Amino acid sequence: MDIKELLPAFVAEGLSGEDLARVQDHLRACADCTREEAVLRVMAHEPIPDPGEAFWTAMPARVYQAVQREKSAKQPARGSRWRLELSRHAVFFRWASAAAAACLVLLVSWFVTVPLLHREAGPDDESVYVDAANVEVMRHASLTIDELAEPELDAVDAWAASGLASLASELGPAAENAFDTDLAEELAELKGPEADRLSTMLNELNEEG
Amino acid sequence: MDEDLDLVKKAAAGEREAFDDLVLKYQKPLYGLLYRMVSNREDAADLLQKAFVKAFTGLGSFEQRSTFKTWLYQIAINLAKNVYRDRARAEHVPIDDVIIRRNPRTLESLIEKENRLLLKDALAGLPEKQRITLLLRIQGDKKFEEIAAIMKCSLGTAKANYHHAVQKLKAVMGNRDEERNPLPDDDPVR
Repeated sequence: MDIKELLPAFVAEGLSGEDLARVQDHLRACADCTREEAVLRVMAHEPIPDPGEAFWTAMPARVYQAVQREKSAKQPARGSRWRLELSRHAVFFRWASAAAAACLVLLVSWFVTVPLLHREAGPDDESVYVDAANVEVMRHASLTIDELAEPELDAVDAWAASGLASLASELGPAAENAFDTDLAEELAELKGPEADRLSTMLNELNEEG
Repeated sequence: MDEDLDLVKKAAAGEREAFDDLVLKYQKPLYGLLYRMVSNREDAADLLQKAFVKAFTGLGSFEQRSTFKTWLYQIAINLAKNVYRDRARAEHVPIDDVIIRRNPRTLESLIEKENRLLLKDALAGLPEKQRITLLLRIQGDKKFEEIAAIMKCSLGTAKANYHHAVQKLKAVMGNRDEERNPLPDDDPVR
């Protein structure tokens, strides 16, 4: 090892044996290293005020207590942890309630829109409506709109307004808004496959009618 | 190989005895370094406790890329730097120009030794990295490899910082010697 690298250890009296002898011999002959050794010696031997034995003895306990205080400060208080859990549950319940309400609305709209009565084909192009027990409830001749007289048209219109309005109120504001929009606009927004499907359904209805 | 690894693991697991052993092992040399850096007993004692507290509360993030000793010294040096950077901000002077020693009692006890005073002034005037490298080196037990790890620089840079610091201090001593013993006018060296 280079002599200069050994100088700090030499100054700290940490050398022995061969290394010690090497440094001592070198310092006798090298003014530059001697000067460096003098600088290091002055600095290393600068007295450092000793805080006292009590200071050293107490330091581990002081540090330990400070560490425990820091760790306690970082952990959330038990009360606030419970409040955190509760608020998380509250959010969950809110979402669960919203989901349940949506399911309920869908269920209601399903039962309202799907005919409760099963329709069967009757003779002479009549529609026969039967209930769940297959009891005939009514016979109704299929009619097209253009076959209806004006009072009948008014009745149909009134029925549509009241029936669909109740349906709209059950479906919620989204449905009400839907009735406010122009049907032509709605149809214009349909994509190709959707329009085709609607057209097929209408044709089937017409054929049945 | 970190000789303290076993103690560190036990301290991290909450073993009080391992914790105390690490503090007892490093408190005196670390205090010596901190005192030399800030030249104030109260500041050095305060920094010593803060360094240990920060090291032990951060044991979970200690990734063992360096030895525990290196890591502890890095924490202590950074805390000491903050002290004299705060002094620089308060005094509105560049950091490197901050005269570190402010404790008149410390100065008083050393004033009888003129060379020592001179060197300390010269040390205070060194750039931060050269000063810290020199302080780490004069503690006697720090190899350049260890100093490079603490200072987060290359081995060559650590040696260069030390060399430049010593050269400047030697120049101060040399100038002082010349002032005391001026060469005659007809000296061939002149």
